[in-house]
Amino acid sequence: MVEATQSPVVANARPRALIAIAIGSVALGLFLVVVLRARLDIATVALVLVGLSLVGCLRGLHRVVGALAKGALDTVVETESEYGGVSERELREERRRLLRAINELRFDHEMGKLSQVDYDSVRAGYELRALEVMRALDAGETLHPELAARLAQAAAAEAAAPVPSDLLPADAATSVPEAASASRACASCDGGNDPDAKFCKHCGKELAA
Amino acid sequence: MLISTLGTICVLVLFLLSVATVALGVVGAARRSERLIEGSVQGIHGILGVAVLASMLLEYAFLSGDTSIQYVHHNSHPAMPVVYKITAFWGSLDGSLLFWVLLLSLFASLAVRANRQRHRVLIPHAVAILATIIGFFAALLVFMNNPFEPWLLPDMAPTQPKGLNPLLQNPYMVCHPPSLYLGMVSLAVPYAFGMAALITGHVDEAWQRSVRRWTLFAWLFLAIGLVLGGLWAYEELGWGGYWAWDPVENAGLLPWLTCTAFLHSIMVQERRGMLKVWNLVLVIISFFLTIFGTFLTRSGVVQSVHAFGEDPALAWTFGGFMAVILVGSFGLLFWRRRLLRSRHELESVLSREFAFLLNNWMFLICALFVAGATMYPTITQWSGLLAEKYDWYREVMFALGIYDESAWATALLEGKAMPWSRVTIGPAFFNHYMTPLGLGLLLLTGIGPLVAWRKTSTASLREQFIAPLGAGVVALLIAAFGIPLVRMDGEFEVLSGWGLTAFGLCGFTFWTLVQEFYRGVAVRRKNRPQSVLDALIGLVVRARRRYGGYIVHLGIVLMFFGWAGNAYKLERKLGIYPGEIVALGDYQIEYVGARATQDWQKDMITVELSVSRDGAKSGDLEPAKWWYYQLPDQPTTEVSRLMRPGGDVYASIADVDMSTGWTRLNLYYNPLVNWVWVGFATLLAGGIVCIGSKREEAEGGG
Repeated sequence: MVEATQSPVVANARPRALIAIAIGSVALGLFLVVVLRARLDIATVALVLVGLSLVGCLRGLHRVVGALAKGALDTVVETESEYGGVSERELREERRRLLRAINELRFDHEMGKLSQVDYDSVRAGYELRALEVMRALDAGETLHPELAARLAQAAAAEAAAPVPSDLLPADAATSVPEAASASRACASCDGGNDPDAKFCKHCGKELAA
Repeated sequence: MLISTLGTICVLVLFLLSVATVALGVVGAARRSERLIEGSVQGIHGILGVAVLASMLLEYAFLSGDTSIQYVHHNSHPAMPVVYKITAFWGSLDGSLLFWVLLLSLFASLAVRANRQRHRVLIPHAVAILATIIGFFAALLVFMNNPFEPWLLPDMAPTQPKGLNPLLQNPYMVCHPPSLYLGMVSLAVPYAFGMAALITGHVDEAWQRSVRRWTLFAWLFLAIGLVLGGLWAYEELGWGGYWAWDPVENAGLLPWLTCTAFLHSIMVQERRGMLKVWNLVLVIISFFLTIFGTFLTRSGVVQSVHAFGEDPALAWTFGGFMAVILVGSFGLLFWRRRLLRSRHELESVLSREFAFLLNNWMFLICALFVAGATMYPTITQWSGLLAEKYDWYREVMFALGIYDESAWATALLEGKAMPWSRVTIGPAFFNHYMTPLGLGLLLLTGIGPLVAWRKTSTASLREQFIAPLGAGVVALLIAAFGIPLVRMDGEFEVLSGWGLTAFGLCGFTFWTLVQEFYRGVAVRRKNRPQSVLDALIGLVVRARRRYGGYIVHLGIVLMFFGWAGNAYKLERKLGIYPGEIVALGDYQIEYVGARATQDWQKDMITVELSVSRDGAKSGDLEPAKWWYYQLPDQPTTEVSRLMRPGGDVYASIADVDMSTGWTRLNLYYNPLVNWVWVGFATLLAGGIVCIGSKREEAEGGG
């Protein structure tokens, strides 16, 4: 049920810390058992887990205090960079959901469960919503300029840190060019479209190949 | 530092942190301060950290055998296998409350993480509500039931730990309580988001989208818990059945019923924008019932003969909490009633909306009936106590004709027990009323998918219904004529009205499902030529919610098929000597002999039975009785059964006289019982298909 909502940087940092802890504890355990000939019974394992959870617990408490100690703007920047990019992903999700719903509806209609009138009216509603979502996706950045600047600063600072670029999810890498090069003009309405679009998202006409 | 001290500190910190989180959430939402809101969100994650630490400490105490802690002493034994030591954590009241807090904080943390950005407005409110619930349980841990409670004096440390009841040392019991807990606890998330939606006034479908999967998850785990509990009862208790409407079982069933209703009605709101208030009511009731269930099982109200349960203080605290939930939630609902107006009206009785509405009503009636019948004995008992204590109450009851004045006078004269004792309600009462309700629901399971949204035309109705109705009639006829042919024993009634109805409805519902799949495959193949199997897989993958739902329905049909067999159950209780042969339906059962053995844990008496049918041997049965050295006065009954698709031959022993070999045997023939488990497995598979992955979410099936 965990849904990936962290930004690339955090999403990478967290597993790495976890992996480091896991490898470290396994190595420590091997060292104890092999070199020091310790008897590793279940209670000891439990004690180690207690220690780890103590660390986790203290970290959690520290974060609570940290969140309260920060200035309001810093908090906004941080939550935005930690959970940011979600709104766009959400919109895509919504677009996919709506398209599926329309598909589903057509299926129902073909199975003879919906009359033509109902089909048309419900479908029109879905299409309107899908259009709205696509427009929102097209509009791109909606951040406050200062926030955007701060986020860019934070991103630059992160980029200076050695994060291998191949670890960044494709999502983050593709979102920028997509927003920048939304420039495939439609012949009939002059609306801009994604480079790989087959139909115009403004008027629905088929785009020339 | 002692584990008990450290643990107590943890529990205290947990409580304080949840109070702080509530405060941060409320103030942050009121001031719209991102800083405070972020603090409350981190608070929820911090609560999880503390809860994990406290739980690990308790686990450590169990695994290291730290009997200076009372809870460990009562529930652990050095000789217990490690897995039971681990599960002893939630084996009893105090630990189970801590386990509850652990799961709740885990779910709260996950839910907040997943929805932090998506529903920004809802988050501080949802956090405050979740932290309030956690805080309530943490307060119970701090003030009433601290699992880390040490013995008062160090040298009071006991000599012989008691250990977990052997009856509970069973694999089913390892999984059963946690899965029920998982189900019950995760219902707090939909509740918190529903309430947050009400508080903020954002009562559109957004909150539902974030809770639908949680509800599905809760529903699935409640089902797993219930069925595992049934299997445990079937294999351990030896009375030949799996469901006896025990109050504790009912406590798990109640939220499952309302959850099922919610999962259906949520589709109506998604599709048609109706039933908004109703959905919120169902979420509130479901959550309330989980707390009510905890109250039932924890406070001892239902089994106990004492005034307000074995733990009156706990009962009162829970009572107060439940009152707050009800008043608070319905108050909010009333306050926001204007926002919750429906966009559409019901257009026709022959529509899927109406079928869903009917289904919801029936689920709610089931839940209310079960809740009422479970509480009735307790209510009569309380009423009797009141009558004994207060004259005015007695007068009122006499005046209403509920208590008989003359009976009271005679009892008083003769010094006998008062005529208002606790009324007990047996399984027969439940079965009597729940059978028709259950069959009605089965009928709706069949009808629902056949009718269209909004309105179904007569022509379409005819086209949709003819084949399933035919299948239903055929199933009914097969059952009516087939069963007496198969079972040619003259001594029992072989026709049962409810049984036949159940078979007929199973046939009807089964065929509607076949028809749905068949038509779906036909449409897919028409659109794009492909093999039947491809089309079938494509169908399920593309519309997970709908076809997953149908698979769940198929599981339900199979389970009803198994329950229908119950109408033809055979039961014989008899005392026999070795060498005797008894008949059970078509089976002949020979008592071969008895033997006494022992191992390091227990004394065992095993009875050997040889089962044959029409002269051919079917197998052996070896029911037994075990006396654990640990608890010599509580022998356990070890059931032996012969599993067949057609039914189980099930034997348990009540008494054995080792000098003569005379045995009091309980023999049962449970026709079709294994289909209940098969059906459950199908239901589980369907549920998993429904939950699916995040990508496939919410394609608006129905």
